[in-house]
Amino acid sequence: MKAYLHDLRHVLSGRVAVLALIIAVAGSAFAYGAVAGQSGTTYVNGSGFDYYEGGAYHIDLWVFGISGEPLGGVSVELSIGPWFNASGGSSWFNVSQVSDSSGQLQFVVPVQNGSYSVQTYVSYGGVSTTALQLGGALQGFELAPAPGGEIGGLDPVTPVSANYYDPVAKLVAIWAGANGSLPHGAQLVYCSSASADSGNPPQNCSGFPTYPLGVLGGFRTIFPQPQVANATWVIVELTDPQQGVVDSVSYTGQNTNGEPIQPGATLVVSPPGEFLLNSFLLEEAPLIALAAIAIAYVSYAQARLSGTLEPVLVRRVTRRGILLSRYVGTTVLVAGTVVLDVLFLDFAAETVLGQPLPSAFLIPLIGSLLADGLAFAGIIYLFSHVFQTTRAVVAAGGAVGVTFGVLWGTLSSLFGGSGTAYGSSSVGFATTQLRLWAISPGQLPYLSSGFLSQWGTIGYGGSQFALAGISTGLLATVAVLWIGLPLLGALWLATVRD
Amino acid sequence: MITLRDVTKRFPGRSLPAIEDIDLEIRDGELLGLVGLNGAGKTTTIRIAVGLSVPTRGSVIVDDFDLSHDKVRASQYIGWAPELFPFDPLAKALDLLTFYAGFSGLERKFGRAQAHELLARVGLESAESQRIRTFSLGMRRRFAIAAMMMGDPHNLLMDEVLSGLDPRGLNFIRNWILEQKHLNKAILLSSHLLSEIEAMADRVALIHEGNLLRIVTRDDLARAAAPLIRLKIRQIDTDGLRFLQGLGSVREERDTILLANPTLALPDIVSELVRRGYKIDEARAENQSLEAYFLQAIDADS
Repeated sequence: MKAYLHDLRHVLSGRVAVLALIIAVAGSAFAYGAVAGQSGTTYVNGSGFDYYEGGAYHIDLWVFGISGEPLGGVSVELSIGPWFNASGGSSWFNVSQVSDSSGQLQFVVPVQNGSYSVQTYVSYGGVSTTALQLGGALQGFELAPAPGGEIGGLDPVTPVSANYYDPVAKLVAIWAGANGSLPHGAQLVYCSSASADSGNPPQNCSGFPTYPLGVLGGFRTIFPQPQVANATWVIVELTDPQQGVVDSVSYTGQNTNGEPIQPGATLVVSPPGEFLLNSFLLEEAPLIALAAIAIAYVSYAQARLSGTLEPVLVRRVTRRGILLSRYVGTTVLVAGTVVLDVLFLDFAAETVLGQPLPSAFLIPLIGSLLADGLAFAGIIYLFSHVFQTTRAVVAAGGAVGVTFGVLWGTLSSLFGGSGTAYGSSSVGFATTQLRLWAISPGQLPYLSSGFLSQWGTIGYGGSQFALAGISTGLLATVAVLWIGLPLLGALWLATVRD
Repeated sequence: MITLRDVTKRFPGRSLPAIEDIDLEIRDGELLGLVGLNGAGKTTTIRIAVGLSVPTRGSVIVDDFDLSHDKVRASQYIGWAPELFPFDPLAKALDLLTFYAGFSGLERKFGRAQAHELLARVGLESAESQRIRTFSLGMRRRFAIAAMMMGDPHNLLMDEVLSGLDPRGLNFIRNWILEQKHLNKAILLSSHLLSEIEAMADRVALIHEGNLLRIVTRDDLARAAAPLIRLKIRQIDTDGLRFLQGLGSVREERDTILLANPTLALPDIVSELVRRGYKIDEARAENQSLEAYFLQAIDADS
């Protein structure tokens, strides 16, 4: 045992420990990014409309903050293109403005009526595009051919969709009527659908009773989002006496678009919860999967396949014993990385958002991330006994890591099929999706997060877990199988293959 | 003492075994040479004997401990110097040896002292802070010897540690090996330098295509040292060669014909060749070397 502890100490004090520390720092940066993304201070949303008149596109934008409040002093540059200029080459047309105190920007772009892609570059309060959390039109949009008298590609009605922080969810309607004239009699109406098909909203209010929401009082009007009990979908339409229905939006009726807010709360930022976890895990889960692969590779596979483990193996140890001591070392380093990152997330949440993570989140979060990492670490241990070269181990381990640790969320949608996603049964889609996710250790942190926060994204309030037959016990079994089987395989091969 | 009993190793995906039914005994105070062509199975035999490879069949007994069942205790009596250089190239010599010392149960302070002493003994005291990757081949061989000696094992197995050395390095390691032999250690030395094996080994194990052909002692070699006649004949033709092949085993080396185990004495052979009209530039008799003996044994096996 003393020899194995000696070997373990060597692993924990060697180069691989430095690697783990670097990874932990990267994870901490992700944690801070997730918290900063929720801080609300850098959230800039945008909405607007466009029309073509006098040989130019007129693009009217309003920029507003997390609660729909107008934001002045937001610098927006539009980069419009490509189109072919007189000399036959393609080029981009750039215009920029700073929003006034009402958050308004008015661009005139002298290009031909046609189709264009518009990229946006935003800075606000000295913060550049890459650091801002942008919403709506500020994420870029398309300019579509707009015959005179009609609006183009921008949507004039926008739910304040990422409004996690406002006690009252809102709709922002930005509409100047045809050719930018003030609207006369334009109003918002809404209807609701109780259809069981929660993945497929009705296209419009045709066939449903409509109710007035309010009349537009100017270029920019804010309405409360109508909430309808027992409705699957709520559809809001902007109607104009002259043009009929100009635009419509729909959202699920069972929950608001934002994080549930306690009645009467006056939060500026939401408490750390699902949004923060998902934002953190989006980067941390793949990081831990790949980090565990790297740590396992450096601490064992590379040493074994390059032969540098052999001078150790001829000493008073067994192959299994050294494999296990290295695996324990890998586990400690991966666990250390995960714990440091989660604790930093907790610290950053408390410092920036004013509240730490709920304590009940910590153990499942750490456990699922550790399971994510150890599953891939074990595969590297196994592969180092299956393949004969370091290249083969890196290639095979990397392929498994990228497939199941990074891309599985995307790949699984291919198996589920887009037809299923938007087909007749979104319940079936979500069930298939959840079951596919449960296969992969890389998804365990997301699924654990879903359980923790009563998932609204795919699980529809968490009920989908039960429909899909997914329980915390099943996830634990998946984790044990992913961790245990490769390790057992490696231990077996270590004694019979060499 | 290390005993290999009926050791066979089959690698997955290969039809023939790498080694088959190898029986070897490396006795205390003895240097056993292990010779064979490339791919004969020397390195596989050594890797099994030190516990790096698992035999498909058979057993390895190290000073009464079965390596398969009691590796931890058996390994404390084994030292291994590999042919290739499997040491972490980024590690510093003293640090790496100190790490190995930890497996001998030494506290870090004492392990470091022993590592320092071993490096000094192999002439690497001035390089103990150098990274392994900066070592020359001769330094690497010396470091491998130092790593092997950590824990002062009783049985030393060395794989081609004499290859590629300059005369000074060769002399150092040769003397060091003989010194260990005089300390009553059991030594297995594989090498392609048959003259070195011939000069140092008490017994020589000949291995060919995974099979142990025979084990010969120095006395066996002396007894088997049948005369070898070296002839340089101008314009030898097929009739002349056929005549010589009727007298013994013929091998050609550039412009020289080597006739092993001739049935006629040298003067008689020369007379007969002259009578047949051949002109002889050189003719001399010498004793067969281990190399000739080895090649002959391989030929006989084939």
